Amino acid sequence: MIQQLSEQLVSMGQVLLALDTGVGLLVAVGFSMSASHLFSLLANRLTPRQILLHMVVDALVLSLALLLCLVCHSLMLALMEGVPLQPITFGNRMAVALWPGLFYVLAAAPYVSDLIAVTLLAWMHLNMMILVNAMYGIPFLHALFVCLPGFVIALLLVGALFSQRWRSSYDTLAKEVALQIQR
Amino acid sequence: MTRSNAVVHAHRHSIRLGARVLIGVLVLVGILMLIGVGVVRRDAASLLQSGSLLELLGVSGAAIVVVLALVGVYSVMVDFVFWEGWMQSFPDASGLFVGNEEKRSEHRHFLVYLDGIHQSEENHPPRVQEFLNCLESEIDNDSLLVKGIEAYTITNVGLRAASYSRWFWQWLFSLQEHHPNGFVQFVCAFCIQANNVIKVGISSDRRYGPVMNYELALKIARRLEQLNFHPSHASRVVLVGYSGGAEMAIGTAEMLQKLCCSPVQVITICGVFSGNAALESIQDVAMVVGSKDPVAAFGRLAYPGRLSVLPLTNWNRWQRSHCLHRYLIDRMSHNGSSGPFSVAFRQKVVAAICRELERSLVSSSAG
Repeated sequence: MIQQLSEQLVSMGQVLLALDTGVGLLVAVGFSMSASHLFSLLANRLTPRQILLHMVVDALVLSLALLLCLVCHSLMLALMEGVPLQPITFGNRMAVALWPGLFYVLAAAPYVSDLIAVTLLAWMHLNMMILVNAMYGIPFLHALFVCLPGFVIALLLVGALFSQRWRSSYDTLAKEVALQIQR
Repeated sequence: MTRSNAVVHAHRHSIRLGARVLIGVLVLVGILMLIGVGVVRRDAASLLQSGSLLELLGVSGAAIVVVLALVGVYSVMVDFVFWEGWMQSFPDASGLFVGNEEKRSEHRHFLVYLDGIHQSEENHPPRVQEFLNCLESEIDNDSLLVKGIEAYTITNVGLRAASYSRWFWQWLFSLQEHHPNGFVQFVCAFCIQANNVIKVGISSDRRYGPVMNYELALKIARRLEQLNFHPSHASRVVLVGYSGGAEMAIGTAEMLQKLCCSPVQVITICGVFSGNAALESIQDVAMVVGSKDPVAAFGRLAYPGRLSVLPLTNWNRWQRSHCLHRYLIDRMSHNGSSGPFSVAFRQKVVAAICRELERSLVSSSAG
């Protein structure tokens, strides 16, 4: 059973290696993630131009967070497995692992958003492990630890950005309610 | 004679030609059907292989998730576009109840009924209407039962007149009412209920809930304003929510309390609610539950926020500082002939609501 699963993961790794989409995918994933919290911008009562601007800026910040995640993986590989540090080459080949993030916009759906977000993030992490295994022949268990710190950093950054946006929208709502009651 | 023979002959010829064409078409259709059956059989045989079946299930599952997510996003979009004031100007709550100082209502207790997910328009189904009539006759004279609030739309108009999607809903209602096929009617009813389920999901969502609940609270407050409600004279507002209406009631309670400047109390009937809503300032919440209600039991699983294993949820925090009153009705189910609106259980539910109204009144006057 485990042997079969391992073989399937290896074959998935070969498929991912063949895809080789490059760092450009990071920006697309960033935009998808940014679009997933479009409603927080609407809740803030921003104008369409402001919303567009915020979405672009957020997309770039989120892409940067994901890039930081890849750089962190590269560092961990150098530290734990002695792989020479080549962040640009590494990032270019590893970015394809983030392709499930293209669907992150679906996390905007009400109530099931947590399930969708957790599934996509776990999938991205799994892809990272598979690619590290396929590229450097590192066992899956080692790959899990190599990829974990970068992934956690990316999650914290993404979470911080989203929570800041929502906190700000709740403040807008609280102000609106307070204003109505005072009058 | 010769001419008439020629006409008859021509007529026969055309009939023969028509028959030949018909036979030719039938043969062609037959051949195509045979080919089609062959292809379908081949495809069906390949589909029955476990690999293909799994792939089909996977693709179908993914398609359902994507469609559900997109429908949910559209539904949220409507709420937030309204909030932004793009659809129509967002109602100003600043002048609420100001005009009622002079003509304030004689009633002191306002019971607002929020229906379950079957609701598609202001009028309630006959069985619910009978239940509400029964409740209306049992409550005190200084209490007013407010009916006909559409809990799943945020504007004053119903689905039939909703901006952007009115054509769709009108088409769906027309199919539901006039289509001779029962299955089509069922699908239409299912679509309407699915829309309401999504609204319940939005209300219970931590991100979208506050905005939607505020919009609904504002809608209820404006309805109360029309009924000459004034905070200086009213003693309390009681939200009575059935099934999904319970989520809407619990979600809006705190906002409504702020808008109405009067205590708000919640009574749920066979309630399905998340426990995500903020309830800190709400003193009284009561549940009327049936011992054989599978939907409410499923609700506890669908909404893990009410499970005791998660002590930090809003619902569990509220329960630690307040007392939840439960009225268990034996053998009562969620709907139908053993539901709360059935002849068998209607009186028991009404009695439980009246008991809770009395209890909370006594406890508030004692406090």
